[in-house]
Amino acid sequence: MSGQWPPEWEDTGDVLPAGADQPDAEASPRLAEVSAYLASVPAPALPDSIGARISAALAAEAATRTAGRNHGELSPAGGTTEANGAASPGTPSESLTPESPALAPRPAGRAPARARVRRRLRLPKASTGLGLLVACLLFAGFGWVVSRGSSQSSSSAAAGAAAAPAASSSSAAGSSGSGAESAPKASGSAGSSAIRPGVAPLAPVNPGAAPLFTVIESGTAYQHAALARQARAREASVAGAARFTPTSQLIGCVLHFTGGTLPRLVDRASYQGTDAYVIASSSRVWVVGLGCTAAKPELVVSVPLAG
Amino acid sequence: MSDLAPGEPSDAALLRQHCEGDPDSFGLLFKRHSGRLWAVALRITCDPDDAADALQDAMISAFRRAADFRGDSAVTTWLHRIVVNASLDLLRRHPARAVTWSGDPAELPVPEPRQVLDSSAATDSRLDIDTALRTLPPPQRAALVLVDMLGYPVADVAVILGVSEGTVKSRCARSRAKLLPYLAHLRTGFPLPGNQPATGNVPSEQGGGG
Repeated sequence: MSGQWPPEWEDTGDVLPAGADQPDAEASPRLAEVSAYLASVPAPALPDSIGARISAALAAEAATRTAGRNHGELSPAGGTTEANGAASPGTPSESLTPESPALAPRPAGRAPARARVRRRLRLPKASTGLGLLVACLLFAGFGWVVSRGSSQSSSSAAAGAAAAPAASSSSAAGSSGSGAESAPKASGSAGSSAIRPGVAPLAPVNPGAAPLFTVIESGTAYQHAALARQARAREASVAGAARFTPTSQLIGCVLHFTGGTLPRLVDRASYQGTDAYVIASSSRVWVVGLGCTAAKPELVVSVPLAG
Repeated sequence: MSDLAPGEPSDAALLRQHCEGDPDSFGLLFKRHSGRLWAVALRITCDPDDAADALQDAMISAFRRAADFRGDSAVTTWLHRIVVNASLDLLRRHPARAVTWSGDPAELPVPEPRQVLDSSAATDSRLDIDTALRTLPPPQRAALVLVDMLGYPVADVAVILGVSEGTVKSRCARSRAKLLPYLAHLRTGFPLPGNQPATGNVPSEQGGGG
């Protein structure tokens, strides 16, 4: 439990010696009535959408973990799996991501080989470093392509490429998408003036493809007080707005909030003067950051759509 | 705390399967306890959006750190502790919508007398309880929610909150005393004396005046 409470949370009367009685409750039956009344309040049911959202997030975590395990098993050095099995107690999964839980029980009978294990443990680290270097070079290459295609270069090109590691379609279309993006930006809101580092550009809609949904860029300056009304109005009237194919990261982000159902609106616009995506379902509006993904949902605000 | 059907794996078994790499076990564990965990998060944060964020953060944290569970408490106790911590941490990061109330019943709005506790009245009661809970500091609120509203034993709550049983009892007692004047007016047969509708013949109990 965190001990750094804000000052207004501290209550010096809280701490009592262990085993202390409840003098107030025993002395005052009315306090017992408070307990009884609180106990009679029905527990709130978990909304289906929130349950689905969390289940989806857990499924994404499981997929990430499985992918990490597969990557670890496929490392070039043959000693990876062997080193896992022969690892020193307490660290059977050091070759995997730092936060991954212990996956496999340690096999028995390896203790006498610990001297060899230490040397073997160096091999997976070197291979892992080589793999990371290759991955960084690939990401840097993607970032160079993205930065050449975008109207504004970014110093963190590797970070920009890292934002779309698996979105080959978006990176390949980045050069063409940026050209399309610059056109609506000229007539769009003043707030959406630059592609932030780490944010993959949108690609124009491919007439031959069938995306799950399209993203519009309406140029709307959403405000908190009018968010629901603006979203409903924009949903009803998208004519004239530029349309784009969402990246896989954005798809994951949107479905994360809508609980897997298709959105009625995804608008790349500004919220309170800051670039953002505005997502609307039939019942709710979410404002998220431009780097939103299913694993890192950058929720800014969420309001219900009444009626 | 939950009754398992024959052949259904226990919480500890699900957690063990999760640590061994089974991709579905933790999801099953969450679904089994999602209702109570949601109730904890919602009652502590007093806001559905904050509760959703806190519960998600807690579940992802538990997913990633399942190997740290040493089995010295029940799995549900461990999960509840993570949810409570996530809820309190979120409130600490985003202190908003705090309700200040002096505790004077005279400041409360005069309710309509309720003769029958129908579903709409239950909803109103719950909304008022959320408002009342927001007047409590979150650590006290957490103790009261776990003990009185969700029915956990004081010993379990002490483990969840990481404090002594005496501290849990003290927080609950102080919270009940703070809520007493506020919650009393929701019950049939109230309002309290001094909190009467404004009519010509109602004597003032506030003193003063002539």
